Amino acid sequence: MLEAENFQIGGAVRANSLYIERRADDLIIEFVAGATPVGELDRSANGIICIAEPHQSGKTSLYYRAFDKLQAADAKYIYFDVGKIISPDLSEIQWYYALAHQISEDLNLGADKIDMLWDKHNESPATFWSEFVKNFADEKQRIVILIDEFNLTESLEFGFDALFASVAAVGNASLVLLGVFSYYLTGKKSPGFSALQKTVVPLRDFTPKQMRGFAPVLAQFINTDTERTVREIYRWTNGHPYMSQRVCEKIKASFAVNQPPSVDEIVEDLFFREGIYSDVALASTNERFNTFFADSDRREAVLVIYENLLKADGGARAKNDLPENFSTDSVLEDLRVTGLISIDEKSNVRCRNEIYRRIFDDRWIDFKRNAAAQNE
Amino acid sequence: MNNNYFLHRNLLEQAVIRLRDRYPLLVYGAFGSGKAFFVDKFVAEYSAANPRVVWARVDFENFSEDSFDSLDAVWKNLIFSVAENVGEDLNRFAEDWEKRTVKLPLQKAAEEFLSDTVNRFGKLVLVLENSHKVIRRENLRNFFDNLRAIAGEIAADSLQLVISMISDVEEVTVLGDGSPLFNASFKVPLTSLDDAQITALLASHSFDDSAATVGRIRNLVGGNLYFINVLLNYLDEARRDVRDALDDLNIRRIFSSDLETIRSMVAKVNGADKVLRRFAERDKISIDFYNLDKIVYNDLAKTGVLVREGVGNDIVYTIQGSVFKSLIGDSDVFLS
Repeated sequence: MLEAENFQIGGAVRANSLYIERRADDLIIEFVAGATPVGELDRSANGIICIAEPHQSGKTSLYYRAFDKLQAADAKYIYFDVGKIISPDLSEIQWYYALAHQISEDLNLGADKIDMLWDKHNESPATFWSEFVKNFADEKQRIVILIDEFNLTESLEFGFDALFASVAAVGNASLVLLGVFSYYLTGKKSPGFSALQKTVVPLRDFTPKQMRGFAPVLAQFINTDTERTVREIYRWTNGHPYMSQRVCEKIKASFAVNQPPSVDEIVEDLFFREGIYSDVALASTNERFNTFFADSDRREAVLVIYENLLKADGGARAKNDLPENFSTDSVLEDLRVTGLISIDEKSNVRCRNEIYRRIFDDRWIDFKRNAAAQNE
Repeated sequence: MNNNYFLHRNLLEQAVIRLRDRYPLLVYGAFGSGKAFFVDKFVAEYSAANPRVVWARVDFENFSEDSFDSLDAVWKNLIFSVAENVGEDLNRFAEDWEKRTVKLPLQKAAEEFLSDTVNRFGKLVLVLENSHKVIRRENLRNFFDNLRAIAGEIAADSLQLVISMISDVEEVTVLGDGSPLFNASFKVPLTSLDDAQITALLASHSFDDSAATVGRIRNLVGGNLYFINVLLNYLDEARRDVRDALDDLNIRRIFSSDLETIRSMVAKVNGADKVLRRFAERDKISIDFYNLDKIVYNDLAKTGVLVREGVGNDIVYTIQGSVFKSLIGDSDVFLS
């Protein structure tokens, strides 16, 4: 295995860049193999799981790694990027035909096979799809279909019941559907979507122990106490993967100069110079917040929760100690997927990290309240 | 026009390296910041070093209004433009296209065509100019999702992208949130020219480049590269000395068509009147980062009328020069 030589900011982590494994890496492989420990993921999900994380959390890197491991374990892996075909006018049959086309290409089924089934679409798109699945699914061969950017389907009129039903229909859990979202979909009536969004692989920020993985790579470029530097980075990023990589990359780039800046100075420069727009992760949180909490009552309730978190001793509160209004799991999950908060294994809720805390402060809360009032 | 690309020499060199390293390029700036000139120079520079690359340049400004009616219409027009760029027989191509799009979504057919083109030529660089015409339309919001996914599907070093648009750092950061394509791209921000760059431009025309002349040009058109070029080219053509000419120029005649373009852009900015009126008495306004009008100031900066300076919470907007001030109400600051 190649020793990591670089840090990487955004995009899938390349072969020679630092990749730090988290519990989620194992969970995906265990789920596909049908060996997920009870309690960690919903075993009743029956072949359907999802990753739902804010931008810059390491989703792409995670499934690229999973792809390599699954290939090694003889599972077939089909990657379908919704971005390739998405359009407000996309019809249900176009969706299933494009998916079948992708599977057909990846499994080398030959173009004739789908063309032979094309007439089935006259009965219904679902019939076309279920006939196609019968032709390619094989109980002896585990197949994983990864649907990336699934959230782009939000505006489509049709549901995906036929897709979810097909996963359940194939015996021996040999067909696994892995949906990747950068936010949750609302308003989808399909029960399959509910199942998909319940079986979430948690992709938490790095723990202090995982963060230590940065130290040996930093040591290739700097000659100070790298363990201490990593602790200083953690104090700001709380293990945020992309932000931690970004700070390390800047440390690497700055160290050649005579008086390299401190971690604090680097963080100041990277994340505070342009306020919310200093960094795509911060801008993303602001945008997502506006979208998810456009309703003024819901926004106010969430701002009360967030305000409460900012004042919490030690930075975190148990979920049950939060103000009651709207502090339901689904609202907290929406808030988590904006990137603003994190929820740990013990259900403690906190502001994501010190950078978020400084950007999304009392003034930001007032601004959101004023903006909501102005729109009313 | 003189070759003024020493102004952005560093950016140009970095852009060449980044495209070679397989990053998409995003060239952005206000109206008149020199995006088209930069792209021209970039294509020439990159082609010289990579003669086998095939270019397909598509300018959304040349699309008819009904091309933006739907995502399918944009994709169809784009693909036909690329086909024309790479020398396809368009009649035969139209027949093939009809067949390709019977069952597949149109974007999938576009992917197949681009993939075939790449296989034919080895390396294709797709240059999309004036992309803001697509980005700001709600019905076309999936265009760059499609493009990102299609480019990702085709071998990364075979199909590459150069995108230019009227935009600013805030919009580009937000676009990076919505699209990994924008997030991963190498950004080429073209900003208002500083005094040293205006001095260099004057020198390249063999004009007087004293601080006084630079100051007078800045008072007239700020640091807007396009307007400075229009002015200097006019003086070149009229064989006038810049020191004398600046006193009695018929500014209205020189800039009339460009100002009409800007006037129509300003008219599309909601709340522009209210914000522009604040500049009637002064040239600079500081606003708080959380000011609810900030979006209006930023949109006016994209038209080239205002320049945004400063960082964090200290943001200052300056009106570019007296030529742009003519857009405020009925004030007339033109010289006779």
